[in-house]
Amino acid sequence: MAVATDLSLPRARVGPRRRRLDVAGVGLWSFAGLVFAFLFAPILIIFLTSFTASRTVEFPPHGFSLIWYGRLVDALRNAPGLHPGLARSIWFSTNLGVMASVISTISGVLAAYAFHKFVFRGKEVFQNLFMLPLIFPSLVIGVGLLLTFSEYRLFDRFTRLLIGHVVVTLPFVILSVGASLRVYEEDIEEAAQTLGANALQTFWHITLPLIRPGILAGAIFALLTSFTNFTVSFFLSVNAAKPVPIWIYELILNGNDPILAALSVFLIAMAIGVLVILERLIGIRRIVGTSGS
Amino acid sequence: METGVRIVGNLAVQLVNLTKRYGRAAAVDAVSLEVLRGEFFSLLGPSGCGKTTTLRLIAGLAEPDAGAVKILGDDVTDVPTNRRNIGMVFQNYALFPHMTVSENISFGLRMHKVGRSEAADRVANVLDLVRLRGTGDRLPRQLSGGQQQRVALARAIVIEPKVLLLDEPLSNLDAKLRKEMQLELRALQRRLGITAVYVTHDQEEALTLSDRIAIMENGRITQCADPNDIYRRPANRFVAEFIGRVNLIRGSLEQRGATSVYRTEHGAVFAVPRSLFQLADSQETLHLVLRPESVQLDPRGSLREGGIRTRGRILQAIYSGSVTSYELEVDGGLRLRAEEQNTLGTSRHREGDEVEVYVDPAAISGALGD
Repeated sequence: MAVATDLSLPRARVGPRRRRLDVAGVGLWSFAGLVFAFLFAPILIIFLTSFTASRTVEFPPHGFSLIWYGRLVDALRNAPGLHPGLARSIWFSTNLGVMASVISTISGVLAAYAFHKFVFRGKEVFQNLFMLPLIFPSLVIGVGLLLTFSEYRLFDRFTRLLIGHVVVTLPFVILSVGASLRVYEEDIEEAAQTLGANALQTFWHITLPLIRPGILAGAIFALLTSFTNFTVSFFLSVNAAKPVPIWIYELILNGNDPILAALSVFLIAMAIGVLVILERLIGIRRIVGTSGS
Repeated sequence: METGVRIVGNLAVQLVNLTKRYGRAAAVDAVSLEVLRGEFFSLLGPSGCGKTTTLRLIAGLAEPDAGAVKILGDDVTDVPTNRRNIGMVFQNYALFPHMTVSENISFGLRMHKVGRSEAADRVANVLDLVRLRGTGDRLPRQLSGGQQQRVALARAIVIEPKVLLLDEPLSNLDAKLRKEMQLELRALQRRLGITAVYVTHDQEEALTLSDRIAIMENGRITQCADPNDIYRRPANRFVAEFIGRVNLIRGSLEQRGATSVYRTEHGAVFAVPRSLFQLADSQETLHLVLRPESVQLDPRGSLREGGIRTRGRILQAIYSGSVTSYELEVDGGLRLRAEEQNTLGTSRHREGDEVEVYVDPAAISGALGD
């Protein structure tokens, strides 16, 4: 009997608490579900639309076919037809993205390290200046760069575009590396110094390995940001060499061709492919999570 | 302060008027001290007293605003940390998380260009020394706190530093492990004959470990002496209260004919040893410093002249096994704490008992300060 009453006590206490939790839980799950629905619905719609049999983008799609994927393959192979230059655009965007990412990553690591480590005159100003592209409309950046470059006849067309892309990707690297620098205690570097390491050795042997996840994350964000950037590219690119978003934009101007849906699915697959490879190589959790522990 | 000629070659660390300011406040205020070779020297004080800053100045991790740091006679004030050849153990160990235990320990040897085979030997030896044989391939996060502590120590001593600096290295360990590590650390330091400068806020730890202790308060050294002196003859009220438990009585000395007496601020009067007049003149405020264990209740054996003798009543008796501590009220309304070893395993007195109270003259000291 005594045992029975003992058991009933905690149960009576747990009951109402669990019910409250359920109400909150249902609310939370519904909210999360809505957020995910809004995030993924467009992707799902594009995915479904890409299998349409009709000549225009329609939802729900009419029939099922793979003709638009066929067209996409043709376009990628530069087959003569309506969509010239797709393969070249993808190659161009990849080159641009990789170069912008490499430049942003190197300068971003140095900048983030300087901001983290040193106290100098105008530090706050510089910090805010580097972050401006995140707040400023890209339109202003694009127009501003275009006017400056043409007014003073600076650089060739590719360099202009590259500079524009570095400007908009750099903040991502600085943020990501800065966050990983803040994760570990400063006395780890001091320990290296007491053990005889000079500043350069400390950075190379201690700091760099510790912030590697942040560097990789920043580099990937920079690459993706560059690859998908429209506004800056719009003002700085010219006919001969078009980044993918501009190519897509020009196609849309000529009507809504379902090949765009197929292309979108292809690009999403590529992005997922990159993430899978990274996961295999270094583990995605190490990139987005904190370093080490 | 000290008399006699000191042989310069015997000094491991010498601080001369060392000053470090943060903003307007001086974290370290014109500190001068000398640490002898092979000595275990502690900087003890409450948080914010400047002890860690002093250690960082010795290490070169902070730059002094004035004064000089000398290590083995060489002025290293302008020498960067990595060329001072010091070993340092940090409060949270500061192990390199991406390196194994062996890599952590051999890092300093690599930086000092020690050959690979010699380095391997030295790592193996030091792992034995800190009783961590077989853990060389593990990562720091796979070790317990105590083991990480030992790796940090091994990493610091393997480079055979001129001086070993330790910044509250045991404060993150639980009480039992801390006691063990104290003994181990002391034994290791003696065996290697290494000079150690140890920062702690734990007075018991400082008393246990140190050859000498410098007590710091507000960026200055209040007293620098061996543990015994500091415990028995605290330089001022701050030190008296900081070290151990204490009865502090406020009052002043008086000369009454041939005998010296102490009058408390509440008017109670005791006979006290004449020697207290070396500390203060009559009428000047002087705190009597009585350690609880030297307050004897119903004393056995002969009582010496100049000791405090009075009567009191026990208000509270707190039994804790080997020791019972008593709170008592003595003549004149003064409250005192007494502590007695329970040689028979039980308390000798109960609450409410009337007892005779005696303090031996040798156990009475005084401290200045309000």
